Amino acid sequence: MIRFENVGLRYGAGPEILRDVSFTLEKGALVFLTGPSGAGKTSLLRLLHLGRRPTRGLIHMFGRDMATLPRKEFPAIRRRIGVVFQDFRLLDHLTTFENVSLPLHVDGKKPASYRDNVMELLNWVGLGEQANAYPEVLSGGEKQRAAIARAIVGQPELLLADEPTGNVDPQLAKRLLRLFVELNRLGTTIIIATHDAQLIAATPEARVMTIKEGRVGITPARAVS
Amino acid sequence: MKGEKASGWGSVHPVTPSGRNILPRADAPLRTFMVAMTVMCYLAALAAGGLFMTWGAIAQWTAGVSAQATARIMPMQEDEKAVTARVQAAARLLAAQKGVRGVHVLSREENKALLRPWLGRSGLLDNLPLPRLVAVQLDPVHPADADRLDALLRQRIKGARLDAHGRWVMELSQMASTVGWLGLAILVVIALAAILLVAQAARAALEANRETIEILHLVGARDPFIARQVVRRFLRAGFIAALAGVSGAWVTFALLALLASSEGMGGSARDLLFGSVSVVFRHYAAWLFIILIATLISLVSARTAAMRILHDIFRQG
Repeated sequence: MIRFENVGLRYGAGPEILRDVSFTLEKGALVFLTGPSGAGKTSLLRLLHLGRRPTRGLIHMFGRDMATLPRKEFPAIRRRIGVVFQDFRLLDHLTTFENVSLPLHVDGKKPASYRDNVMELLNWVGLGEQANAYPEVLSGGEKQRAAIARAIVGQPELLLADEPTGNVDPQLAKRLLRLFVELNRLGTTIIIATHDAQLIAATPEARVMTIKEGRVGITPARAVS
Repeated sequence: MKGEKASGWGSVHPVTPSGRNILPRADAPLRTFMVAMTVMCYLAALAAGGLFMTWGAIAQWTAGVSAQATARIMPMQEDEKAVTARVQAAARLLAAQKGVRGVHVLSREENKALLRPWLGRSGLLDNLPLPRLVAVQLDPVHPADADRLDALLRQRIKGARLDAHGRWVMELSQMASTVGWLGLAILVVIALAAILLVAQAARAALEANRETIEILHLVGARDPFIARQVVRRFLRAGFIAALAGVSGAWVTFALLALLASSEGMGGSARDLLFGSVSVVFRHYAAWLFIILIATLISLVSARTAAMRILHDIFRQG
């Protein structure tokens, strides 16, 4: 499903943030992306959600070469990817419901066709009561769950999450992790960038991708429960 | 619930998706655009109105002088009786011609009155050998051929000739044409300025919403979808600005018409300056055209600019 071959990335004339990154992830994989701060985790996620093009190398996703994919085809690919940002990136002028349903709205779907599904999702992540609230009044954990709900509302084939438990208490972190595992069991490929060793330890079925000095190594899943 | 605001496209209750714009309002660029667009539409409407006034006045003047001609009989070494005889003969000759509705022999007093504004009330006018004039009223529908009348007059009456104001009419017509081109040039310049203004304002609006647009891109929004959100704002703002600008111009012309009808202004000056103000109000199509063009410029220019900016600025990689 995802194949990186000797991918390199640099910003402008700066040093290479990612060097010779090569890995393959099959459909339905659950992967933790870890490494020290500044190692390039967020940059790797950017490459995965088409936020950047690689400086060199080959990225194959969904059977397409991302390096040569025309820009006008980005939206179609992005709709197959859900992204949870570390800083949530919710739109402050939209309600929780509108934020969460955004991917469906921009896809041209009518609100009547998705209202019930979105409400069900909001209830599932514990935000049913906050559907009409704006992000400014949501707590960090609520924003995090809204961001996760937005990422999964379109039933993406690939879910990318950047430090999804960085702003929540351990209890909520566990709940969110269960949510990701559940989604993974339903067939979604999931890549979670995190520093949280406990989170990784609590998920033995996941593989761990470590970035160090711009290079990537993958350890296999320790066990599958 | 704390934090609730007006419901949008996807409010949970009531279930009525509205036409709410997905982009937050970028008030500053939009307000600047509206003010500038209103002023430009006002200027465009003033230019168009001025053009109609000028054309109206020229048409009035041309119609007036086209139906008139003046026969001049130059004084010679003769007594008053002989001059009067030549004048009367010229008047009879002209009156008998087909296409001439009537003639009026100007008395010496009337002649002097015509020259008095330039030469004053001194005795100079009594000593000058003034030409005698015969005002000829031509048939407005089937006017006599002025050249033929002139030739006939020269042939039959010594020292007489006919001035049909042809040169004057031609100059007026040239002036009308020049004014027309000038007005058109002003309108084109205003339209070009409006296009640039919309493009700049659209860029500013997109820049102000840069983060929102990035997020929209990330959730799979296509450029035309985002551009549509921008265009909706500019379409509405452009229409309101055009309406305000044209209305402002109407108020200006209404004030001019009021001034024209006031007692304070002399009749001739009033007729000369404002005689055709009323003409302005008859050109409904032109006003609608200005509003339509301004709205179209807002639509097309905003969409073109938005698509280009989205492609250029928000290009990934």
